[in-house]
Formats: sequence, C-alpha cells, structure tokens
Amino acid sequence: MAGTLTPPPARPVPVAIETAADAFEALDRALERAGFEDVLAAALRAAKKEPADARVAIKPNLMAARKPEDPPVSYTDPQLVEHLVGRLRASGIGDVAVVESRIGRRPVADAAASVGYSGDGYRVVDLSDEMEPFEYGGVLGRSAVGRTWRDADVRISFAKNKAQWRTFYTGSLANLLGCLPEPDKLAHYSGPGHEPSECCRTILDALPVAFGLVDAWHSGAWKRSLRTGAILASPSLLALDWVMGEKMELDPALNPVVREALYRYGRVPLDRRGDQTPWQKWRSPSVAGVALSGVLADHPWLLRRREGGWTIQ
Amino acid sequence: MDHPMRAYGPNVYEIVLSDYLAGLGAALVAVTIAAAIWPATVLPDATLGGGVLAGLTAGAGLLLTLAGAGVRQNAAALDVGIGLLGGAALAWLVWGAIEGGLLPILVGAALAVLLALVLGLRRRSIRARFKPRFLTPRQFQTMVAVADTMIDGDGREAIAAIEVAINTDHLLADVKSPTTSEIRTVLILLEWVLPILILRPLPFSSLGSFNRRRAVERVIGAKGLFRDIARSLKVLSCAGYYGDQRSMRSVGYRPFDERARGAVDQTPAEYPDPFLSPVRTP
Repeated sequence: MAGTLTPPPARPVPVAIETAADAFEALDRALERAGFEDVLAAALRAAKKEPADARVAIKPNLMAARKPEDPPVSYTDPQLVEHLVGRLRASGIGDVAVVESRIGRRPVADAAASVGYSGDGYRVVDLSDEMEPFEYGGVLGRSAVGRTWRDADVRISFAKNKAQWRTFYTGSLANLLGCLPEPDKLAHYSGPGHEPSECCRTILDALPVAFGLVDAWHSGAWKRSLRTGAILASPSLLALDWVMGEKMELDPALNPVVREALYRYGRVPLDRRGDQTPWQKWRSPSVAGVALSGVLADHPWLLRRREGGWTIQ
Repeated sequence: MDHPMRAYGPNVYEIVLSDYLAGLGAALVAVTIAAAIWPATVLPDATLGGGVLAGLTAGAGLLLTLAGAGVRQNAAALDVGIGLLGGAALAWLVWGAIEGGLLPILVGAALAVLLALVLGLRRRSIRARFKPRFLTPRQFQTMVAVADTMIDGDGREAIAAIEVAINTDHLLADVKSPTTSEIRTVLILLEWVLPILILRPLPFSSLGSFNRRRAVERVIGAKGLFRDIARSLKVLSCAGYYGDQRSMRSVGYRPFDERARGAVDQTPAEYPDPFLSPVRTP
C-alpha cells in the first residue's frame, strides 16, 4: 500500500497557533499568519466574484451547545465568529452566513440565540430547513445538501478545541458533519458503508472548504474545561486537525476523521507557525474507552438511548 | 511536539485488541494452571475429559497470546484461537451445567463474554482499517486473499491486493443487482469450504499464498458449483484490478482524454477536383 497516497503539495501548508492578550487579537494574528486574506482573494478570483457579490458561509461548532457556557468550552465562541464576520464585512463581502444543521429536533435559531448570536451583519441559517438533493459521490451518493453551504463561494470551518469520546478530539474536519443537513445524524451519517469519518471527507471533497479555524481560547479537555489561550488557523483542514492532535500529545492518525482525510489527501508537509508546546494539563479519552465506544456504535440503539441527538462535532 | 504523518499505522481498535489478547491469553493459561493445581475445584470433572478441556483452554490462551503479538501478521493464530476459545467456553458451560458445578459455569460464561469482546474489537478493527461498503469484515478479508491469489504477478502488480479488494467492494456497493447476494455466498463458501478440499480445515484467508493457490486450482478445473466459484473469483479479481487507473496504465491503456489526436490523421483529406483541373494535352 505504501506509495499510493496522493503526492504531497509542493509547498508546506502553514498552520498558525496564535496566543495574545485577548482572543480577538489572537484571531486577527492567526488569520494574518495563516494567509487568510490571500486565500479569500484566491477563492473570489476562482469564483469570478467581486467581494460585494460574494457569498461566504461560516460553519461554527454551534449545536453542541446544550446550554450557554461561560466561557464556552463545548462550542465555538460566538463573539469570535462575529469578529470574523466583522472582518469579512470590512473586506466588502456582501453576504455572510453562519450555518449549522439540526441535531435532533432543536432548531438552529434557538441554539444560536441562546448562546448569543445576534445576527447583526450576517444570517443564521438552519441547513436542515433548506435541504435539496445533491450528488456528493462517494459514500453519500445522492443525498440532501443545505443550499447555503452548497452555493457559498467561500466556506470556512470554525471548530472548537475539545475532546470527543469517539474520535479523541473533534476539529475542523469533524465540524463538517454539521454541514450535512439531515437532523438524525446517527441514521444517515453513521454505520457500515457511511461512517462519520467518510461522510466528513465526502462533503469536504464535494464542497471544498477554503479555510479552517479552531477556537482554542477555552477548551473542552476530557471532562474538564481548560484555558488554553490560543487560536489555530490554516488553509488546510487536515493540517489544522493534525496540529490540534499534536498539541494534545496524541497521535493524530488515531482520530478516524483525520486518518480518513490522510488517506484521501495524502501527507501534508506542515509549516507550524507559533507555540508548538503541548497544552498543559490536557486530558484525552483513553484508547480503550474510544475503542469500546466504537464497538458499541455497532448497536446504534444504545447510542440513541444515551445521547438523543448524536454527532461527533 | 511534531508528530510524523503516518497513514498506515495501527488504528485504535488494533491497539486495544493487541493489548487485550495479550492479557486474555495469559489469563487463560492461568486458568489452566489453576485447574492443574486444584482439579477437583476448578474442573467440572477431574478426569481425562477435564484435562482435555483444560488443555483446550490453554491452547486458546497460547494462540491468543501469539495473535496479540501482531494482530495483522498473526491473523491465522487469532482465527484458530477464537475458534478454540469459543469451543472451550461452550464446553465449560455445557459440562458445568450437566455436572451442576457453579465455578465451571462461571468460567464458561466469562469466556463467552471475553470472546464477544474479542469478536467486536476485531470486527471494528477491520472496519476502521478498510471501511468496506458492501462486504462484511470477514468477507472483505476473504476478498483480499482472493485478490492476492488470483492476481499473481510475481511482484509486478500495479496495485496491492488490498486495493483490489477495496475497488471490488466499492464496485459491488454501487451495483444494484440480485447477483450481488450470490457473491456473498461464493465468498462464504470460499472462506469455509474450499480449504477442506486441500485438507486444510482453516479459513481461506488464514492460508498461505501457496495453499490458497492450490485450493483455487482445484476449483478451476472442476465442474458444477465449483466451476461457478472459479468464474466468480476471476470476475471479482479482474474487476477490482483492471478497474483501477493504475492497472489500466500498466497494461498500456490510455484514457481517451489523454490520447494524442494525431496517431491517425482524422482531418478530411482534400483531393483536387478532376473536372476543374486544367486539361493537360500531350
């Protein structure tokens, strides 16, 4: 099997790990250091759009918010998302949407309002409300897509830095599961033939994401919150999630979503920019625990009973 | 801390399975030693039959220990170890129930639970590694063995047997045909029945390449059901192998898009109109 991966890109991919006095400054610096403006300009050129006509979709980690948290450790900080929206609007982008899909029955608008999304200068879009058929190819084949995510000229994944019981941690790749609009994620995006990792990779393939961000200002370590004080950014979601794993002192390839992307896109030479020291006092789920949860995943009724709305975001 | 990108390292289930087998193997051997020291207490009946049961348990333990040393490399030891463990669990339970011994029943029940965990972990480890879409994990392993046997290029294969199996699996997942269920039957027969023809009562995927080849050669010249199996194997392997772009290129095929137009000049030939040409007089 060796040598069958996609050849690596010619130039190393930048991954910025920025710390600062406050989260907004860290976000600005991370965007700058990872070359966000260049990526945005290139994406607009490729779409042949002027900024005023362009549509940008941001996918934060939102529906993981069961209740408002102070500070947020299980979902992307809405203030950071709105700061990013402000930058985009300042760049002249005409239409900015913050998108999510339902997990179970709870509407996205309710969850967004409860954690503090104001909707000033952008739209909060529930992808489950605007489902249309779409040919993804791969394991998803012809299935539902959210119109706003499909039609966006520039897509951004803004994930949360947190541990996850099935994948060790969830990053910008796993965050894309929320772009798949069916509310019952367990039924549609899990199980033999369409594992969550394959679904994330397939939607990334079909609807590429231009830029990835991770809110690691406050993080959800395993069963505890931790102030990690950083923002991560990269044009490559695989590179970004790989560095996330490194910061947690994990082998990132053990994360099935990262591994799936690695199979698909091949090894990426990394240009790590910033503090590479692992998070202090970080705790991850145990290897045995993750494996056992995977074995239990063969019996979805167990998961359904335990969790109600299921996701790996 | 930099971590090198490795795509083909062990997955989380393989790591846990490996550790678990090492511990389980040692525990089974310990049960056997306990049976040797306190036969009247541990065994249902301290006779020759009880000794055989203890030996069966020890055999399962040793094989599982070997399997734990490398779950990919020692898959045959894992297969046989699982079989022995299942047999031992059943024997402990049945014998304990007949003799009315509580301890043997508990041992049998514990072995059954431990066996279920081995099976669950193994199943997930294969699924996590290959993500088969149509075939079950066991059928996928059989398909890898089939591809390795049928695509006998002596090291000149354009793609590996695992990739052939993945191609075939994805192809079968896309095909909507009633014959696909027959393919499952073929793979089951191949896995469990065909090796008996060459007096190797082991799963086909656990055999070495030489013995797999011998088994396949037996059915190639056969008639009836076995001939159908041979044809199915050829179709499955060829579809997976020659359906891949790299294999196509290796045999000289070039996709139409990449072909130069000029191998044959297709521009319309122009001939002078003989009626318009000037009349040449001698």
